This record gives sequence, structure tokens and C-alpha cells, in this order.
Amino acid sequence: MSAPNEAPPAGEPLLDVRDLVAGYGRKQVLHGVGLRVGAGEIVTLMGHNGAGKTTAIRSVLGALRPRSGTVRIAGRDTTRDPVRKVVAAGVAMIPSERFVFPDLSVHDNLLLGAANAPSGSGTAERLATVKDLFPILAERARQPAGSMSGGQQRMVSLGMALMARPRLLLLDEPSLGLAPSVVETIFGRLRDLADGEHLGILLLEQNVKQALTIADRAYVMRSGQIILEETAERMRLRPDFWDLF
Amino acid sequence: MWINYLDQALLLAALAVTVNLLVGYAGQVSVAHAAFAGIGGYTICFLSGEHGWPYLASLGVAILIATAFGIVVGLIALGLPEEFLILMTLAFSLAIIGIFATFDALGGVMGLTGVGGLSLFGLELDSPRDWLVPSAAVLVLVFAVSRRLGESPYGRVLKGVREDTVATRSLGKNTFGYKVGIFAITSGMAGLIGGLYSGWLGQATPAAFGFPLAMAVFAMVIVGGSANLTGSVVAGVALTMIEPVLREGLGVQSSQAALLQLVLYGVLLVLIMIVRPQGLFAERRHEPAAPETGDAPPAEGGTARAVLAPREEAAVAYADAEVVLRAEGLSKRFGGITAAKDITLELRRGTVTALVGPNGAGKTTAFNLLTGTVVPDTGSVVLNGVELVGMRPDLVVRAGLVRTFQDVRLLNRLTCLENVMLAVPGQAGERLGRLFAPGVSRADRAVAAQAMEWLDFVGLADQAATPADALSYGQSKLVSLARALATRGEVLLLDEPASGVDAAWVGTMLEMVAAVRAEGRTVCLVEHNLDVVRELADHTCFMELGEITAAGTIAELTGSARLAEAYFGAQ
Amino acid sequence: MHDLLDADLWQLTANGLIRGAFYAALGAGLALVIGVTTRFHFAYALTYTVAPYAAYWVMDGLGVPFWPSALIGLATAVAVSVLLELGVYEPVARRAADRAMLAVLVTSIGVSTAGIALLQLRFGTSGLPFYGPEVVQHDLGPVRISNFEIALVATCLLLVVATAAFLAFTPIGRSVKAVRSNPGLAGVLGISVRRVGLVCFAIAGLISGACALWYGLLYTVQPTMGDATVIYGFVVAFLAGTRSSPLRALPVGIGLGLLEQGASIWLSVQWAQTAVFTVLAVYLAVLAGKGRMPRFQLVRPASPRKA
Repeated sequence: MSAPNEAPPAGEPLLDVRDLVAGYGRKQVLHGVGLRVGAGEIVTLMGHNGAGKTTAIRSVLGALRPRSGTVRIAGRDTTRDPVRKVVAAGVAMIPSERFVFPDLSVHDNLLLGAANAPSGSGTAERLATVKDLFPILAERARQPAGSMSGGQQRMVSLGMALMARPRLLLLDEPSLGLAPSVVETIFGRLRDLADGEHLGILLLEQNVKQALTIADRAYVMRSGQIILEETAERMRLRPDFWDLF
Repeated sequence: MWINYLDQALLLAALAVTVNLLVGYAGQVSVAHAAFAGIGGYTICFLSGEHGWPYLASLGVAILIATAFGIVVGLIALGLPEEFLILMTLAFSLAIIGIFATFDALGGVMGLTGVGGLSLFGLELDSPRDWLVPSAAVLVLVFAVSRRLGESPYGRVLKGVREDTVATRSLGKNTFGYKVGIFAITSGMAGLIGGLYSGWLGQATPAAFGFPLAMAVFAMVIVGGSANLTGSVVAGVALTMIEPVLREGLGVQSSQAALLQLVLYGVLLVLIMIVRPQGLFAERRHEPAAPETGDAPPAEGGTARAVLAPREEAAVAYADAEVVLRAEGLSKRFGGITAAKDITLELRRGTVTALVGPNGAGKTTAFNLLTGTVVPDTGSVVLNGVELVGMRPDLVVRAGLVRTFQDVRLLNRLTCLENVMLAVPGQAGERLGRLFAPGVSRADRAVAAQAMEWLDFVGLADQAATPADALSYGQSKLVSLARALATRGEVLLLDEPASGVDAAWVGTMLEMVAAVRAEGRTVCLVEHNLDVVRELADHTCFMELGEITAAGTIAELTGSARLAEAYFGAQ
Repeated sequence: MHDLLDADLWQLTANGLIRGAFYAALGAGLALVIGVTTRFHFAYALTYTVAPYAAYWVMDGLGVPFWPSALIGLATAVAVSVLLELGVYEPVARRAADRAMLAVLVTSIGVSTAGIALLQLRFGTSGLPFYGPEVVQHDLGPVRISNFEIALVATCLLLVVATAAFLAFTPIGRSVKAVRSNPGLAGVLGISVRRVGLVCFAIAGLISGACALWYGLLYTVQPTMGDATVIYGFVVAFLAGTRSSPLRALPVGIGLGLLEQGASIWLSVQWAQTAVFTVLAVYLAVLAGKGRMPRFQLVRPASPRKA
């Protein structure tokens, strides 16, 4: 296993998904999805609810076993790996709902994020970094995560994900239910992480406009397929997105 | 000797049939039915044995007392999640056994013994041979009653409760009433069986009705097959006979044989649960009765009759259509969070209204408030002049407002036809009072024919006999639509009818909803796929943060810069 | 009740506290299993009973001294508990899918009854002569209490506090809390939900075994000793909440212990068990009456519906 934050082999994107087919029971959700995320790149995945975005990232993480297709993380095939191994390979995901352990303290939440961190990462040092990034988490370390505001809980979840020393972050609707100013703060941090730590970020967002302000590229999904790939710059020029939803 | 065992086998088989009706059909677990049998046993030993009552009279009292306890336990625990019912019945068993074992009037740990000289209808019950007749009679009676309850419209509702209580309630069934009813009935039957069991034994002891009996009966039900009464009889007799076979055939000491039998029960139970959880005899599936009218054309795969012959009066102008349902000022707060704020909504006859809006805008909450599954803090919902707020959810459905679910919620182990039949309203066979009157099966054939027409409407008549869990996802969405239609609800709330189905099915779904509108019904749908909304909606309401903030045609809404901002965020 | 002597009252209170601590420990162990794994673990009665039997067997049959035997008894309870999950509950639940709770409960009752019947086949249906250290009675003012009772209370309190500390301060304990709190998120973090479940079964086995060993020394060891006990455990577990700290089981267990003693004196001995049932029935009736679902759902949230 390669060390975290090490650049993937030349020419290999950080995340390379090809022809992914997946679903739940009799319900096939993804019909051959392909997408790539490079190190230091923020890619947003757009599309209406039920288009298959969450299913796609759950398959990448190994939480859902794909029926066919491949997932490669930094060149290594992880298609059949369990979550534990994918997390250890440097992938962290934040679900759109129920993304903290509400009755556990903020401190415990953060430590749980490191439960499967790649070996050799100093948890204490990581904890300090995360608390630097989100000072509120240091202040409220003893408080149950469920008692914090929505925005603060988002920060807990982001902190938790960062505790695993990821090089690829999969974020499912991180702006859901948050005030615009909070969204701006969080998105700002994401851009910093991509630029400063070369994190690759795959961002699922309904708040398309705001996502495009920090993204480099965008994919649009509909009915389990990618219907459009575009640079964020060109996406930003569109007057609206109704035709894509 | 063997006859004595046969008596016991018949009675235990009857108990297994009873418990199977509750566990296998209605899906409600009870550890307490051994204790209910104990109540029956103690009642007859106390009344007939100690106080010389006629046996028949004390059996009657036994049934009454057991039923009464059943109702009380059921009323308390059946509205709560499953684990509380289990807990309640466990604790109830312990308490009853505790009472038996500690009260001097009931003989304490030794129980009430030496009961004899019983007679029934002039029949002296002394030798084991004498007991054969009443034991067999009780088994036949219990079997007949259970079969009538289980394999009938009533049983269909029970199975619905087992598969998905919420979905069954959403088809207009009073699921809590059914649960309490079947719990009480089976308690009463257990009381009767216990009354015979103790009569045959000549005694009632606390140990006889404890967990080993509960476990033995579970073993019979599981081995014989859940929701298969014949299986319970076969397994009941066969498993009871293990002990005499061990003793007589293999020469095991009598004290050891009973224990060895329990060990074997346990082993069998685990094996069956792992290897063949449906039991030796699988649940009976009902072949669909052929529709009585022979002119229903067999639908060829995927082509719906509805699409072939849509009624043309669909083109009612939205503005002219009559208002069928009017919701006003619906608000709901959960803790500090406002889930719905002053929702006012009109649904007009023969039109499709769509609710759109970003994630978490409260669209599903709006459905829940309309259908009464969540009671609003303020506001009213009037359907054809009837106020729906405060009405029980199943009554709301009967008043004509029915919903589908985003995640479909078909009753998996029932066939498509049974799924739709369950939704047909006003079935006499679903009511206890009418169930034992003649004509139920004829009426049920008519219900089947009706259900068949709805399956045909959505183009799935050829799948009538298919179990719901064998359908593709798109097909299951269509069956759930047929089910909603079969309730004859005037207003249909469709929760994401096209989500999760692949492109080929989206078209079918669209045609189908259009056909429903053409039927003159009123549709309100939540949908994220705006293509679907563009295609179908006569009128669209935009929701954000629990509020309806705009309404109009979808073109008007998507033309608004402010709504685009609400949907896609601000830059 | 006016002629009740003060001395009796003290003694009853002491007895209530002793039994209460015992119920609390059993309830805390069961709550951990139910809260984390959602298994309706009736065979807790078996892991409880098997400990003194195993201890007796090595002591009597192999001549091993008491303390090592007791340790073997404990180890047996832990092993049986873990094996039940691995060999029975897990496969049964997997096969039963959406009806796992029912299937596991029924199987659990089956295994428990069969296991206890096996013990009866091997050791007979009557009590065992299970003796360890000497009994010493202490008089503390009006209260008479034996060294076993003191040891039982101390063990129970220690087990509850140790379980709470394990959850609060160790990494594995933290994972256990994580699975209990939000299994979906725990899975996303790569925490093995299955392994965490096994840890809970091991702890529950340990608690049941320790309680049974002291109880056996104090009273008798007989095959059906677990039947009533496990139900007290269930009642404490649910009243205290299956997803809360083990410490919550202490007031609930002690409350039940005192209530039981109180019922036996103010009503009559017969009502002791019934009183506990009544408390449960009233609690559930209140829950049902409020018409609100309690916070703890046993059914795990399914995989996210949105795709």
C-alpha cells in the first residue's frame, strides 16, 4: 500500500471509474458510469435526486459491491475491496444525512474518523491539524456532536473524514440545510484542502452554483448515466441548469 | 400408552396451528401463548377440579379469561415496535407462571392435581381413549377457524400486516385493530386448548406452561412451515411423537426422553432456520381466480390497456377544473425545526399537480400531513367537503385520498394479484362478523376480477401470479400504482413515481399517470426528474424550506431567476 | 404495615439493593447486545446457567480448586456467548433478512431451552452442590449480610462501571458506541460492525457468567436458574434504554430490586414477580398511550433510499 498523499503514478488519475454498474436488489441504479478525479482537483457531480449520484460514490467506497465495471484508486484496482481497505487506501466519504455520531463527543467523533487511517499517520498530530482547521471543534471537544448546530456538525463530519488522512474525499451534499454563509466557509476550506494538500474531491451538490465556484470540472448524471462532462468554467457560463435536471 | 401420546399430539398440534396463525400469518411474535394455554388449564382445574363446575362451562370461562388477557396485552403492546411486543409477552409469561407457582389457592409449585371425572356432552372422559374424541374435535375446530381466518380476505390483511404494516394501513386497513383482534382470538383458542390439555393431564402445573412449551410450539410452527397450517399439524404430531419413539423404540429412560426431545427440538429449529427458513411446507400461494368476465383481453407484455383506450375528456383546462381537495395553512414543527409552514394547496379534478423543490424542502412531509400519518399542528385538509385532519390514516384512505411510496413497499411474499386485491375496499370477508357467513369465496372471486382489471390497466395482467419480490423495479412501481388505483381513491398522491426506474420504464410510467388522469382522477406527485414534471403536470407548486413559495406551470417556474437560485443555489 | 419493624425494613432495603445491583449488571450486559447488534438474545439464560455448571464440572470431575474453576466457568460463558452469535444468530439473521428479529428470538429460545435440557441430561434436573469459599455472615447494625452478598454486589457494580469505562475510554469501546449510535456511518468509516458485535457478546457472556457464579454460591445452582433472571435482564435493559450508558442500568436495576422487596412485604411474597411485570406493563402502556415511537429503533436504518 502506497503512503498517503504520494502522487499517483504518472498518467493515472487519483480516482478512475469505468463502466460502473450497480444497484440495490432488483433495482439497477447505475448503468455504466465512468468518471475521473485527479489529485488537487475538485469535481462536482450534478443531477436530480435519484439520478444515481450517491450510489456511485457508495460503490467507489466499497459500501456497495458493483455488479460490473472497475474502480481504481491511484492506479490500484479496489473494485472488490471492503470499505476498510478502501479507507486505508486513502478514501473518505461523508454521507448526506446522519453524518455524525450524535450521542458521542466531538472528540470521539474525530477519533473514530481515524479508525482505519493508513498506518503510520500520527493521530495526535492529525487531531491538532483538524482542530487548527476548525477551531470550533477544539472548543466544543467534550460536547455531544448531536447538540451542535447543523453547520458545526458538518465541520465535525469534515474533520472526521480528514482524520483518516484521505487523498480523495467523497462528499454527499455537504451544503444540505446550511445557511449560505456557512456553506461559503466550508466550501472555502475544501478549496484550500485541494490546493494545499492536493486532495482530490468529488462533490455531490444540489447547490450547483456554489459548487461550481470552487470546482474544476463537472459531471451531470441522469437516470444512472453521465450525460455531460464539462469544465466548471464553461458550466458557470450557462444561464440556468433546468434542462439538465 | 400410544393413545395417550396421540391425545397430546393432537392438542399440541392445535396449539401450533393457533400460534402459526399469529406468527406465520400476522407476523406478530408471542412467547405468551403457552401462558395463555396455562390460563385455560388452571381455569378448568380450579373451576371443575376444585369447585365442581361442569367441564363445558369452565372451558367457556377459560376461553373468556384467556381472550381478556389477550386483549389487554395486545392493546398495550401491539401499537409499539416489535421488540416491545416480544418483551411484553416474555414478561407476561413470567408473571403468569409466577402467579401460578406462588398462590396457595392454585396449588403453589405443585399445581392443581388430581383433576378427574370430567365429562363433556355426556361423554365420560376417563381413559386416554376417551380423550381422543374431544382432542381431535378441538384440533378440527381450531384448524377450521384458523384456516378460515388465514386463507381468506381477512388473512390477506393479516399477511399485509406481516409484510408491511405501514403499506397495509395506507390501503385503508385498520392494522392496529386487526393485530389486536388476531392476538385476542389466538389467545382465546390457546385458552381452550390449555383447558383440554390440563383436563387430559388431570392437572395444571406451573412447569407445564413455561418456556419449554413455548419453545416446543415454536419448533412445530417453524419446522412445519410458517403460514402453512397443515404443516403445523404434521410437525405437531411428528415432533410430539419423538418422545414415545425414544422411549419405546430406542429404550431411552422416561426421564431422559423428554429432555432429549427438547434438545432435538432445539437442533431442528436451528437447522431449519438456517437451511430452509420457510419450513418443510412452504406458504400456500393463491392462484389467481380467473376473472368471471371472459372478455378481459390478455395483455401482451408491457402494453397497458389503459394506453390503448384513454378517455378523451382529459383535456379539461386546469383553471376550469373543480377543486377536489383543499389544504389550508398546514404547519408542523418537529422540535425546533419547521418542517412545514402554512402549506396551502388545491388539487383539481382530472389534473396533475406536481410538487417540486430542492432536497429537504418538505415535499414528503407535505404528503404525510395530507394523509394523516403526521398530524399537523395547525391547518385543515378538506376532501369533497370532508375534513381529514384528525382522521385515522386508514380512514383518510377510505375517504378517497391514497398515496404511493417512493420506495414502493409492495407486500413481498404475496402475489401481484393479492397485492392489488388487498387494496379493494369494502370486502365483507375482511370483517370477522361476516367472514363465517356464506358467500365469502364468491365475493372474493369478484374482488379478484376487479384486481385483475387494475393489473390489466397497468399492463401486468400476465404477472398476476408472480410474487411481488420477483418483479423488476419498474414493474413493482406499476403494481403499486395499480394497488393505489384499486382503493378507488379519488385523489392519488404519487411519491416519485419515476425515480429509480430506468429510461425505458419512465415512458411507461408517464403514459400510466396520464391514463389515470384521463380516468378523471386527481393526481399530485412529487418528482425530482423535471422531465417527468414537464411532461405530466398541469400545475406545479414550488416548495422550499417547508413552504410553497410559487405556483404555476413548470415553464413559468423555471423561468424565474429567484426559483433557479432556490434550486441551484446562489453564486 | 404499621407493625413492620425498623429492623426488617433495613434488611429488606439491603436485600433490595443486593438484588438490584445483580439485575443492573445483567441488564447492562443485555442492553449492550440489544443496542449494538439488535439481537433479541434470550439465550442469555444459557450463557448465565452454563458458567456455574462448567465450574462445577471441572471442580467436581477434575478436582480443580474453586478459583481456577470459576475462571473456567467464566470463560465458558464468554465462549458460548460468542459462538451463539457466530454459529447461530448470524446465519439465521442472514437467512431471515427482513424478519431477522423474529427468527433470532425464536431460535434463541430454542437454543437456550435445548442447551438447558442438555445440562439436565448430563447433570440431572435437581440442584448441584456448588460450594466455594466459606460463608461468613456479617452483622451491620440491624442488617445481616454474607460475604457472598458483598462479593456479588461488588462484582456487579464493578462490571457495570468497567463496561461503562470500556465504552468511554478505549478505542474498541468507542467503536462499539459508534456502531450503536449510527451503524451506517460506522460502516462508511470502515469499522467492522460484525467484530464489534462479537465484542458485545463476549462482554455480555462475561457479565452473565460472573453474576451466575456468585448467585450460585449464594443460593443454588439448578438448570432453570436462568429463566426468570434473563427476563429481569430484558426489563432492566429496555427500561434503562438499550442505547444509553450502562450506568443507567444501575438506578433502574436497584429500583426494581427495591420494588420487588417492597411488593413482597406490603402485598405478599407472591406479588414480587408480578410487580416487576406491572411496572413494565405500565411503562409500555404509557409509551403506547403517548403514541410516540421510542427513540431506540431496533431495526437498523436501511441503506440510503436516495440513489
